[in-house]
Amino acid sequence: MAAAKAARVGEEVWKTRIDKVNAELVTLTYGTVVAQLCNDYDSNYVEVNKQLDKMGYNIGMRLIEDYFAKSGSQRCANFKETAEAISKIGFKIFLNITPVVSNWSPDGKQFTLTFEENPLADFVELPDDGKAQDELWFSNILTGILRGALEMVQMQIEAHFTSDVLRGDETTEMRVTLLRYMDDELPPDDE
Amino acid sequence: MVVYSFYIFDRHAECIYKRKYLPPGHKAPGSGLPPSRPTSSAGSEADTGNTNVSEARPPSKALSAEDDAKLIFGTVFSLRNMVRKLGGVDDNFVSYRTAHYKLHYYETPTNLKFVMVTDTKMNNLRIVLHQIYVGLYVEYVVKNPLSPVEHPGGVGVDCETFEVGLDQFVNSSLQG
Amino acid sequence: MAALGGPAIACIGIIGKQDNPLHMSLFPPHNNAAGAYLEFSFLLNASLDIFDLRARDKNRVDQDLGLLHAMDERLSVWGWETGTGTRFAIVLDMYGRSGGEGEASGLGVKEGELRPAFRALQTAYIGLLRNPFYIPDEHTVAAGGVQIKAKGFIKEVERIGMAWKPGITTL
Repeated sequence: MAAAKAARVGEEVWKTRIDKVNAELVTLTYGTVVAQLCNDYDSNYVEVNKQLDKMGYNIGMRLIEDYFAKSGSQRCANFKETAEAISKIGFKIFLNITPVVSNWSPDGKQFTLTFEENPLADFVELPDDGKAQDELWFSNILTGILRGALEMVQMQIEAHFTSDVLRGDETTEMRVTLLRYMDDELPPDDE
Repeated sequence: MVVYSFYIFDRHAECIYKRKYLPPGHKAPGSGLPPSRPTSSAGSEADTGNTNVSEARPPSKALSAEDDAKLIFGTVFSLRNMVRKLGGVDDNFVSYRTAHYKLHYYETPTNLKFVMVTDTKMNNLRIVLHQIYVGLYVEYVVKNPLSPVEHPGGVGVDCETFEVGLDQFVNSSLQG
Repeated sequence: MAALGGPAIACIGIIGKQDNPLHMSLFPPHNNAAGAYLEFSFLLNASLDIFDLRARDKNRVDQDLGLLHAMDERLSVWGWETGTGTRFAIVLDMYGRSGGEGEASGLGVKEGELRPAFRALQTAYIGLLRNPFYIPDEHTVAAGGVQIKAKGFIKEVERIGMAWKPGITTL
């Protein structure tokens, strides 16, 4: 139900309200940023992952406003709905992909996003230095984006990639975990 | 119809933007405030064609601008919570009216709160506030990479394009 | 496998605009022949002047430079130059994959027949450039003239070399 509705909204917004930009430009821009980070951090890929996540976090906090402004959708009632909205509206309108939501944990707080395509990583071959294949998560900006965006709707989550075709894995997958719902904040000196 | 003031509160309950609209030729005591950044006191040019509203300007003129914002936040926050208790989590209040003014309220899914105080004759402004969010706030503030996402310590939205846009929008569609 | 006897690609060379070798792939039966690598390097090197000559031709409208020169009745070099001066050279073997037990096919290869191969090469090269971890500057003469190491690209070049045969339209 929720999935079908989300798919419809995503499709509609994508068709009517999104300014399109050349895909190569996006791929190249993102790729250059990652390559430059790898360079700046002397191939310390753990640190590069961290930086990408941080950049994503800052993007996510802004992107969520655009998401609501464009989609006109309301807050999700539960985490399942959130997952569908992420995949079928969020990823659809910003990257024109709809990663598959699957593999729910029994408590409904964890799911896996499987990326059948990933515009960020088109044409990318990881450096052949013996550790990039094991350490670098090329698209790690996405985890940060989800974290930043969901924090703005009072969900604290943790997200990390579990596999990436760039590393030679079969699929590209991200695991998302809901840590907690955050409370409304009060003014610090409210009495 | 007259707009008295406009506020934006972020998810940390911080007032990140406030704007007062004064009738022409009217110098309220409250307008001699220190020009802290979130307050862009509108000059008389912001508001043309209003002549009949020099009395009864809410909220209380004796309050400083900061107190103003706090009071408004306290009011809408409590009202919102009360409404949710009564009507369920999806419920929200749209506006309330007193003998002197009407307060309009819109909250985004990201907990940004838009508040506009107008005279009592104003129609429902929920859609207008939504338009300000979508057309002005998201476009000019959120998408401005140099403008911070969070505004700790009362650093407000300081974005000229947003303020100009807001002025135009308010003047053209609400005032007069 | 190309039909026995039909012309086949013997070697593909990618040359940077400073005449620096970027990559060279050899194909059967030459890939295992002793001294072939050196021999084909010389061959490509010898074609550089013709590349220059053709590239300077003001009437040229196309990136396809056609037949550059024919070594003997067996080997001929064909060229393509991109807008940025990167050159692709294909060496054709008229004896084909069989290694030439006597009979040349007798069939000539017409101008333009190698186009699909060149186009595929160019696509592969663009793909290579789009990999953010590939740094074109690493391959200039000044930087030591390292050859291309990207596995995906090399594999694609090898696929193109093996798949092309006369008359093919897409690769």
